[in-house]
Amino acid sequence: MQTVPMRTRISYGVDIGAHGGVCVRAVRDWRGRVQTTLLHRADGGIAEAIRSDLRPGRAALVCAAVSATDTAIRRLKVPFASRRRARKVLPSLLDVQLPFRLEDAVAAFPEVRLDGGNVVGLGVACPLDAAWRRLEDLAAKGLDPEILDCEALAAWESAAREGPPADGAARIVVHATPERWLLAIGDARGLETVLTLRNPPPDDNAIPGEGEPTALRRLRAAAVVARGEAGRAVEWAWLGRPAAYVARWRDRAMGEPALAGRLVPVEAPEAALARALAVRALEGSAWAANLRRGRLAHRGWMRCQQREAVRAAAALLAAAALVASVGAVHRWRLGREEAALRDRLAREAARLGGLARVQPGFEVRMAREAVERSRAEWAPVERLFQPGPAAVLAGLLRAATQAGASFHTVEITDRVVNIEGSGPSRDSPRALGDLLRLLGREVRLVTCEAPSPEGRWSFTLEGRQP
Amino acid sequence: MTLSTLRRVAIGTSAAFALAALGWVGWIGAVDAPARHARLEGLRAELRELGRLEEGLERFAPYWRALESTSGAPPAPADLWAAVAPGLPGPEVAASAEQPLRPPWRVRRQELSFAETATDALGAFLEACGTARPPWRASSLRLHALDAGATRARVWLALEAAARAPEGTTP
Repeated sequence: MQTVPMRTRISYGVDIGAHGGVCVRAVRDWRGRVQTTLLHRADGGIAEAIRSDLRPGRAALVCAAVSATDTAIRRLKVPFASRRRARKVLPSLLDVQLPFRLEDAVAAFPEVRLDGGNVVGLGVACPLDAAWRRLEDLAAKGLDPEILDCEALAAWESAAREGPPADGAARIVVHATPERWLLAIGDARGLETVLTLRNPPPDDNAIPGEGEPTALRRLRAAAVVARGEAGRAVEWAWLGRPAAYVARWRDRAMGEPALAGRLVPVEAPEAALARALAVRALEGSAWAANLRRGRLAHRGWMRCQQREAVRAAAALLAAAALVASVGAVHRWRLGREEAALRDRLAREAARLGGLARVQPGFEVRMAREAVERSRAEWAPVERLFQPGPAAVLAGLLRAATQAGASFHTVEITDRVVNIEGSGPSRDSPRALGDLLRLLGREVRLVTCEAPSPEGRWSFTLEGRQP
Repeated sequence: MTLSTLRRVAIGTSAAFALAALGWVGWIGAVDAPARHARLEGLRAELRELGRLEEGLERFAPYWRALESTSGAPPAPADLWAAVAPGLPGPEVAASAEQPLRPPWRVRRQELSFAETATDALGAFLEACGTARPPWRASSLRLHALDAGATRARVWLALEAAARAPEGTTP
């Protein structure tokens, strides 16, 4: 079903013909409920009534109907389980059932539904010249409706709004005017077929009139069709205008034994068709049956559709631009952060390594090499502040004095201590060895097996840094 | 161009742009952003590595600060000897090549030879060297006693100290 393209809450249903006209205003409130009001009941002046009723700046839809005598309605059945596929073949199926060529007509398929394993559709077609004629008639009365609905569908729906047909019963909706009669036949599943009477009895308060036998014959024929082979019960709904004309013929027909059946009460039957047109326009069902399509499309509606297309495209583009912008900003921020980090890395590497220039991508490597060079170069400064051989010599001299030992030669470097000396006993150099061990040296002490003639024991002491 | 075609083209084109934008953003989210985040993490790790390298150099900082607080010119060893052992013969002094440190500092080395000297004076001399600013450090020492009590000795001594290079010289 097509959605209503115009965001309007007001519509006007116009049922107008040679013998008068009715206009009904439908308004949808904020809760979505549709309220109808009879706006005008006269032959002329409908356009003026609508203009004076509509407040400036407000938009409204005008919905009229094309005569049932100018339309063909066919129930179609397609052995497909897919509505999308069925829609492709529905025009061809309709074409072969029409008394005119589909290329010379405007067609719509207001109902396409799944029924078991098949698709059931309702096809509506109207010859282009008839549709043009109807539009010209309406234009002559100052009307340019956005929707050209199908009279039979609107009439059927106006009765359906009073209550659906009882299960197993058929319903005949008679829309009677002195211009033509329309007999919409169906049941609880929907409209099945439509009969028309092109030359109905005139509105001359005479019963029976000249057209009476024809009218009654057509009603009997409709009843036979409606009852079918099963002999279903028939419900009758009468609407049309003028009200007195409809009431007179309704009472006459219902008195016929062959036309016996339950009478469906219809509120304000004179305005029922216009009411159904207005409501259908607001609820969207009229759009599906709208015969103003293709070359007949309403200019305002087309402009509205174009605007909606542009608006939708613009909204889509704006959303896309927004999404893309968010992405771009995120990407830009990441890029900026990356550039800042790279810049900082280059500066830090140059500062740390004392480098004039750092090759991008090799910052850490160049800085590490420079730092290692620096560490190797700076290493001696640590040594300059460490205690040297002088401290070791001082300690050794103190220990030797306490042990009574004396040195002959002493050689001390950072790694090696070599001492040759002598002591009063064999154990006297041990204190010197212990001192070197405390200083972290590996000690080798060699003492002579026998003392010298002076009674002193010579020794050799070596302390090596491991 | 019919209305439905116009709508199809307009909506279709917009949908294509929207799809392209979504694709782009999707690519950013799925491919580009993770790669960039990985690169950012890599750069942060490299910065941390530089920090660690800097910490390795920080251990030298106290020495540089100590050196900066001095005049930068260690006193001549001969002068120190003259101060601690007035009247005693001085050493023979030989200077060797200087080794560069962090500019403007260098390691200055000198070798001192005493043919015969009192070991007590030598101890005082070494103490004076250690307390000089900047200090001299004995890196190597050879001593040969000349008497039984080692009160006199022949001494060879290698000293080294940090010295500031004169301005205008290459380190």
